[in-house]
Amino acid sequence: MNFQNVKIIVIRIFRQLRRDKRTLGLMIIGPILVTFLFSYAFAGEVKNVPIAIANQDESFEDILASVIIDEMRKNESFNINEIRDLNVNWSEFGKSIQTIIIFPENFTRNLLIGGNVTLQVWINVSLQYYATLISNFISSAVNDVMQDYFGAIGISFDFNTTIQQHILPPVDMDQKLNITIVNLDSSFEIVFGDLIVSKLASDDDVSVSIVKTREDCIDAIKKRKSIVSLWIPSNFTKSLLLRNGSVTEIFINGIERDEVSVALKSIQNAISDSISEILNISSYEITKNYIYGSEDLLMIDLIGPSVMGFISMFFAFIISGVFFLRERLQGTLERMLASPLMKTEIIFGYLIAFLIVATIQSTLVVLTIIFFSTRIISSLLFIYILVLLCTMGSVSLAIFISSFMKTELQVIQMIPIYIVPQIFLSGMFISLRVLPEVLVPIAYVFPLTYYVSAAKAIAFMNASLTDVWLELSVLIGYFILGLILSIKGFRKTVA
Amino acid sequence: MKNTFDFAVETEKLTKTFGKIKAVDSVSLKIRRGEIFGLIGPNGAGKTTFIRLLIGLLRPDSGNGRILGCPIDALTPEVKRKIGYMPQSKSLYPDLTAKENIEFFARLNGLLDKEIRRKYIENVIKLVEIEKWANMVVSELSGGTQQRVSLACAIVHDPDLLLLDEPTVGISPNLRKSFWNYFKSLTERGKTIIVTTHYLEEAINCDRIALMHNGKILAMGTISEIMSLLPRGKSLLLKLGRRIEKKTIEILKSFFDVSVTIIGELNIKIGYSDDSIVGDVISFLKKNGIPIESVEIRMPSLDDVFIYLIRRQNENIFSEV
Repeated sequence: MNFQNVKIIVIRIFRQLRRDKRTLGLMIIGPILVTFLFSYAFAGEVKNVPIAIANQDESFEDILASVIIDEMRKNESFNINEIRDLNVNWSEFGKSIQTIIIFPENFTRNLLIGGNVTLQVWINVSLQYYATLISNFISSAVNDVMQDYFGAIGISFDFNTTIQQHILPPVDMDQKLNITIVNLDSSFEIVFGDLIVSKLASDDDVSVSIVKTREDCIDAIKKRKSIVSLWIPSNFTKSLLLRNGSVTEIFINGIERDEVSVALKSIQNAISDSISEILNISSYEITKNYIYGSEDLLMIDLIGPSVMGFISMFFAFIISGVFFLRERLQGTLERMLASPLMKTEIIFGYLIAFLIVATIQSTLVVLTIIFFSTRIISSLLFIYILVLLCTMGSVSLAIFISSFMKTELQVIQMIPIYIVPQIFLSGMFISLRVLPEVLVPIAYVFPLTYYVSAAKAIAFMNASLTDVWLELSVLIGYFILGLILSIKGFRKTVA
Repeated sequence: MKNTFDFAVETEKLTKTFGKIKAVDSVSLKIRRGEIFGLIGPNGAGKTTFIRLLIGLLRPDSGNGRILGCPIDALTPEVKRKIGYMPQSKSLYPDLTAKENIEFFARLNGLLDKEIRRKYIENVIKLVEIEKWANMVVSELSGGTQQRVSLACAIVHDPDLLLLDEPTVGISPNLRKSFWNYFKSLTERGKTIIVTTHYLEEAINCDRIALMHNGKILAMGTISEIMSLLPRGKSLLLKLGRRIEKKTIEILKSFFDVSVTIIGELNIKIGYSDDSIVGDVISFLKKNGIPIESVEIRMPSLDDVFIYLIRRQNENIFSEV
C-alpha cells in the first residue's frame, strides 16, 4: 500500500467536507448538542439491580438481668440466691431473707427497645441502716450495668421497705444479708441483619446475592457482579440496640448512577423498616464507600466517554456511508478503481479521513465535558484509542453496507436499524445487567457495546488497555471483518 | 518494454456474461498503436462491458486480453498509469471545482510533483478549453462543460492509451466536433484511442471501427471496408414517366446485378454495387419505352450496413437452428 495514495484521498475528502457546509456544521455542532442532550435527558426505570450482602450479624445474647446479678455477686457482703420462677419462700421474708428482687420477663428486651422498665424490690430489715445499705447496693449494681451498656439510660425502682424495730439483739455488723432474686428475664432474640436481608430479598427492585465477608462485598463491585454491596458486621444488632451508631458499610459502583440510587433506596428502606418495627429509631446512617466513581459524579462525567464513542461511530457510519455511496453513484469510484490505486488504499483513505474527523469530534465532546468537570482528562489517551478503533470498524462497515444501497435515503434508513438500537442497548444509559433477557444477545452484536464497556472501565475503574483486551479484540475484529467485507463489496460496484 | 508489443490492445475470445445475458461474446480484436478505434453499436451492445474488461474493472468469464502488453487480469499500477479512462457517467465530484477534480485524478495517476502537475493541469485545461470554468464547482457547470472536465480528468496525466466510453453522448454537435478534434490532436502525438459511441455518423472520425451488437463484433475495419460489406448498397432513385411492368423489372434484374424496389406508382429504387452499370440501366429503361423524369444517386449509410449485418446475423442464427 502506498501511503501517498491514501493521503491523496484523505485530502480530497476534506476538501469535499469543507465545501459541504451543512455536513460540516452538523459534525461540529452535533457532538456538543448530543453530549448535552444525553447528559440531561436520560433517566430510565431500573429494576433488579444486583446487590451483594454479607450478613455477619449476631444476636444480642446477653440477658441483662443475669449480668446485673453477676455484678451483685461480686460483693461478698450479700448472699445472692437466684431463682428462675416465682416460687419465692415468702414465709422467710423478713427473717432469713431480707430482700426480694423480681426481674420481669422481657426485662432485657424492654430495656433495649427503650421502654419503661421498673424493678420491684422488697426489703424487710430490722434497721433503717440495712435498708439503706441494701437499696444503695442494688441501685449501684444496676446502674453500673446500665452505664456499661447504655451510657446514660437509667432505670426506675419500686422499693417496698419494711423496718422491724428490734432494739435487741444488737446490730451484728458482719451479718450477711440474704437477697433472693427472681430472674424471669430472657435474651433479645431478633437479629436485625437477618430482617434486612429478608426484606431486600423480597424487593423486586434489587436482586440479592449473598456473600460472606466485607472483602467479598468489595470484590463483588470490582468484578462488576453487583452495583451495590452491603456489609452487615457481627455487632450490627448489638450496636443498634445499644445506640452505638453506624457500623454497616455500603460499597458502591458509582458509575451506574441510576441503578445505584435505586439500590440505595431499597437498602435504606429495608434497614429503616427493620429497625423501626422494633426500635424507636427512625433513621440510620450508613457509611458509603464508592469503589468506582463518586457521589458527586455528574451525569456528563458518566455519559461523556460513551458519548465520545457513540458520536464518532454515528458520524463515521452515516457520513462515510453516504460519501462512499456517492462515489459509487456518481461514478468516481469506477474512475478510482480504474486508476493505479489499490482497493485497500481507497478504504484506508476513507478510514484515515474519518479517524481525523472522529478525533476532532471527540475533542469537541471532551471540551464540552471539561466545561463542567475535569474528571475525564486523566483517562483521555486510552479513550481516544478506543474511539479510533470504534470509528475504524464503523467506517469499514459503512463502506461495506453502502455497496447494498442505491440511494442516500437507504443509508439514512440504517439509523433506526443500526444506530438507535445501540443508544439503548450498548450500556451507555441502561446497564446490560438490567436489560430484558431477550435483548441481551442483540446488545452483544453491536460494536458500541464493547466500546462502552471498555471506556467505562478505563474512565472510572482505572483499567488499562490490557484489562479490556476482550473488548479491544472484538473492536479490532469488527474492523477486520468490515475491511474484508468492504473489499468484497467493491466487486459489486461496477457489475 | 515499449517495443515488446505491437498492439495497444489485443483480445482473444473475451467473454463476459451477467446472468443469462452474454454482455461480451467471444470478442477478438487487435488495436494498433496510434489509431482511433471506434467501438460502435446501440445501447446494450456490450461496449461498456468490453471497456471495463480491458481496464480490469470486470473479470472475464473466459478468453484473455492484453493491454499495452500487460494481461488484463493483472494490470500493474505502472500500466494503469499509462491508461486514461473516461467512464460513461460524468464521474466527477460535483462538490469540487473543475480544477480540483482534475488535480485529484492527476495525483492518483502519479503526478506527484507539484510543479509538473501544475503544468499538466494547465495544459489539459487549455486543451479542453475550460479556462473560464476551472475554478467553479462542477455541479454549477453545464452538462457539456462537465463532459469536458471529465475528459480532462482522463487525459491529464498524458496517458498512452485512452479508453473513452461514450465521450460525446448528450453534448452539442459543436462540442462533439471539438472533442473529435482533441482526439485527433492526441493521436497525432502517438496516443491510441479507443472510443465507444452509439452515434453511427461519428464512425467517420475513426481510423478503424468495430460494429458491435448483442455482445458480438459484427464487422471490423476501415469505414470503406465496412461499407463494401453491404451488397448493392448504393442506390439509384428514379422517377418514371409511366408505370413499369413486372416483366421489365425481371429482365432488368437478370441483365444486371441490381435489386429493385418499387416505391409508389412511379418511383423505383435500384440497388447496385458497381458504378459502371448506372448508364446501362438508364439506357435499358429508355429503350424499353419508360421515360425517366429524374435520377438521384444515394450512397449507403452506416445505418444501412448495420441493419444489413444485424439481419444477416439473425438469419445465420435462424439457419443454424
